[in-house]
Amino acid sequence: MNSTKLPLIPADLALRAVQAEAASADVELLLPGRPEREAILLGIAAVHALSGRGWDLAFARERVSVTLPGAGPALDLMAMIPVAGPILASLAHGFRRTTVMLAPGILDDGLELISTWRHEGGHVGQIRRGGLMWCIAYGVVPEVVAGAEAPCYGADIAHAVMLGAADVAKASAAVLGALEHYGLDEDSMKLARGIVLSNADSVRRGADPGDVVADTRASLRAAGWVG
Amino acid sequence: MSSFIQQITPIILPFIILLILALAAPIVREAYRMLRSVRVRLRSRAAKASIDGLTVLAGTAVAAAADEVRTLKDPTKPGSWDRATAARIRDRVIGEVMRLGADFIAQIKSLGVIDAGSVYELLERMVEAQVERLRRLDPSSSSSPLLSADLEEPRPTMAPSVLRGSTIPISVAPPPSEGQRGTVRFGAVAVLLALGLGALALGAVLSGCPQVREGVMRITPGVPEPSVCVPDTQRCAGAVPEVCSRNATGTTRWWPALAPRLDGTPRVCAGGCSVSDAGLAGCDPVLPDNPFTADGGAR
Repeated sequence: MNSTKLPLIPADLALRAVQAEAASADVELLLPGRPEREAILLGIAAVHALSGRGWDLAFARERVSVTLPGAGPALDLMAMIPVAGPILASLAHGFRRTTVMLAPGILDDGLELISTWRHEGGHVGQIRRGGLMWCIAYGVVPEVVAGAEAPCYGADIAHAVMLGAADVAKASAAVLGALEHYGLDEDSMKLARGIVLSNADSVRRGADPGDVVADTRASLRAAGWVG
Repeated sequence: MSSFIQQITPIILPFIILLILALAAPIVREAYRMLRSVRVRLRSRAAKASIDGLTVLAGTAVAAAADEVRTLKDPTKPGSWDRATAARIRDRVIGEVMRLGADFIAQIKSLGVIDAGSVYELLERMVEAQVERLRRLDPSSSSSPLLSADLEEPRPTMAPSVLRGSTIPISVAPPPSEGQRGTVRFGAVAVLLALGLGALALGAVLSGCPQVREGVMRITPGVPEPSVCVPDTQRCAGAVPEVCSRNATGTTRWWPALAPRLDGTPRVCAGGCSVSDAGLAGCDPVLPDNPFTADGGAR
């Protein structure tokens, strides 16, 4: 296991690495300041206001990163709906491709930026594999949320430990705490916990789970990192 | 800092529903147009049948009055013919038509094709038309203008065929014209949106049902197939650590512990996978190259 602290990852270098990966993977990268991000956050806030679940818009503006499925050809069909269709399609035009919207609060920390990107990259892969149906299942089935989120949080543990010299137990506790906020039922939380513990165990053994950190290193090196 | 697809999904769902509605909209629009057309046609047919019935009654009543009128106009026979007599007989004929055709009139009123105040005017014109018709059929009466010659004010002449139509204030809604095709009134859009919101609400309700959730999972690409396993246990499926889940339906399945790559391909443990004594499946570190085999073996 490589838990020694590596050279600092400059934020601008991490951003270049993320942008290069996004471009090569045909992913729309939405950086803070774009109006679409604000629109989405306000939409989430509205949904949460209706559902009664807690939602701190100020926190979300600063800290929440989002991955959205690309509408693709669905937008063309949507535009055919008389009157409302073209308006909706124009609003959603930015989401023609799968889109990752990064939170402003992570842009100043190179490690947090690149690990967040890798986490969202896991969701990009899940959406590529499962399509819109996956997103629907994610929205209505807690078990799918657990099966989707926990592996991505497992990647967070690997990055925190292998690139940030964090303690495995603390990193694991942090991500398990984060998973508590997903509204999982007991069975789904058990699944999430099992997946997180599996990744943590891999890192303890000195392994890079699925070469997720190796991919990040390669990406950073391609952007000029010397770690 | 994590992903919030779950929180985004309620926003995406209306888009998906709108997509479905987009596919269904032309069908709904066409069905709506057809229903409206059928309704208009039925209304028109019912109105036409009632007017035809009244026309027949008016013709019968006029024919019955014709002999009386001829008698009154004949100087060799008793009685006299003047304006007052003409008005009286006309009103009597119209009254007979109203009495005998009460059902037809009620039908016309119920269809909304004519207001109550116009019924008398309609019958009056029907009687006039039947008088004109009778005059054409009976050339001998040309010199005897029967009722119409003595009307106080000239009225537009209407051929019998016109009575089947709409010179009189009949407001049968016309079927949608060609130019209206392809347009959707705001109400129709509102209905579609309401349907979408209804579907959303229904989906929200159904999503709380374990069987529905399980059904959704079974048709979702990327969700593992159900498999027999002991919940919370872990295993290595080749080079992939997996965790057994169980949901409210009792269904169990093996979930991979590794997130996929950006392109959706699954990740695997480069150094292999093993299950620890604690029962945790995890990746093993990649072993460094054996220095003794690098140069061809032991010295």
